[in-house]
Amino acid sequence: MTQPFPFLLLPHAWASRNRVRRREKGDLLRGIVFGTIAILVAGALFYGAYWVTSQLAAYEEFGDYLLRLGLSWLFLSFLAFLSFSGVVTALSTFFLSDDLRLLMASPVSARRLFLARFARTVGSASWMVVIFMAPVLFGVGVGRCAP
Amino acid sequence: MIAVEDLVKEYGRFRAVDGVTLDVKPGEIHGFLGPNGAGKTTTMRMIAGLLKPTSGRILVDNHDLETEPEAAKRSLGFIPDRPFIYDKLTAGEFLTFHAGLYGFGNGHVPERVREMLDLFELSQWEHQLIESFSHGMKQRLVMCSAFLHRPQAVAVDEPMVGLDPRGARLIKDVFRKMSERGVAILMSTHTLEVAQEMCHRVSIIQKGRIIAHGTVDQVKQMAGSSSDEHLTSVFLRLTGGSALQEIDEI
Repeated sequence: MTQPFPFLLLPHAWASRNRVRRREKGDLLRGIVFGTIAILVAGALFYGAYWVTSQLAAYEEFGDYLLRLGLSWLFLSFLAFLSFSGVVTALSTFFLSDDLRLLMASPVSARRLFLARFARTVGSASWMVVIFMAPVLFGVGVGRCAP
Repeated sequence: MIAVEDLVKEYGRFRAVDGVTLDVKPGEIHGFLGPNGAGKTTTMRMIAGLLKPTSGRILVDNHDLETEPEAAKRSLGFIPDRPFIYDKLTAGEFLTFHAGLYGFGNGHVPERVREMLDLFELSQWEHQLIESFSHGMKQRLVMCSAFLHRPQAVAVDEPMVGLDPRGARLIKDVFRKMSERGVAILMSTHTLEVAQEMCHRVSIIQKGRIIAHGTVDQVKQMAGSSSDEHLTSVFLRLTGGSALQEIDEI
């Protein structure tokens, strides 16, 4: 029976699970340090976006215009970053990845292989953009009293 | 079971494989011998579907690799010279994934995985991460995966590299057992003792062309050697390496 394409992503999911399960000495400390830094950065981005939005709210139409302009630039720069990251990741997942030899020698259709690689490329290329973008958008949303 | 007809692979103006024709019958162990750079690995990769031939035809279990690639690959087990294994998976997980790739029946996977791990003496490592395995253990695990889905034919590139004598003996026994069950095995190797000991027929390739083909005795006859002469001498004579042999003998 042919498995659907997400099956081809299983080794990565299992590998991540195994990494978590089989923690080595120092992993917990490393996790706490980097987790704290990530929370502080996300918090700073959220607060920065919230503060700027709140300040701009005092300038009525000009503030709205500046906010729209700022968000446009933000989206544009993140889109550029996403495109660059996507191209680099695609080169790696579609052409240079070591497991391609294993998958190409097995009876996996080109369509399933493409879909699995595409999903992996999208995930690998965009997680960082999402992580940086989300607190900024939350900050703007809260600053503008979004529901 | 594996039929290769007039296979050609060109890289620009360089012809790496030049009209190779091979036929491996069910239950046969066929040795594919040749010096470095002769075109063995290129041929094996084309049989596995990793490289597209410039021309020629490859049939695995009567499925044309060009027109029915999935059926042909499903009938084949491939053991490359430098196999890829997911290091962060356990042996059991790797084999389970492999079974899924080949569409092996879901309900039978765990018992088949255990059966293969038993056969290759890896049972006690089923739940260990592959990154902690030695080279020989990884090699045996790759062989497990190649035979897991009960292929009709197996193409194996340099199976004995990095194996200790016990591991090599185990692999030879498994190959013999599989051949008795009707699996066709095409084995590329530099270890001529192994070829002489195990192969029903051999093909010798040089500069991309098959220069000798037949049983070990027929190849010896072809080279004008006596039947008790070792295959190494015959190989060196046929591939023009006799000067090297003389140096060895000094």
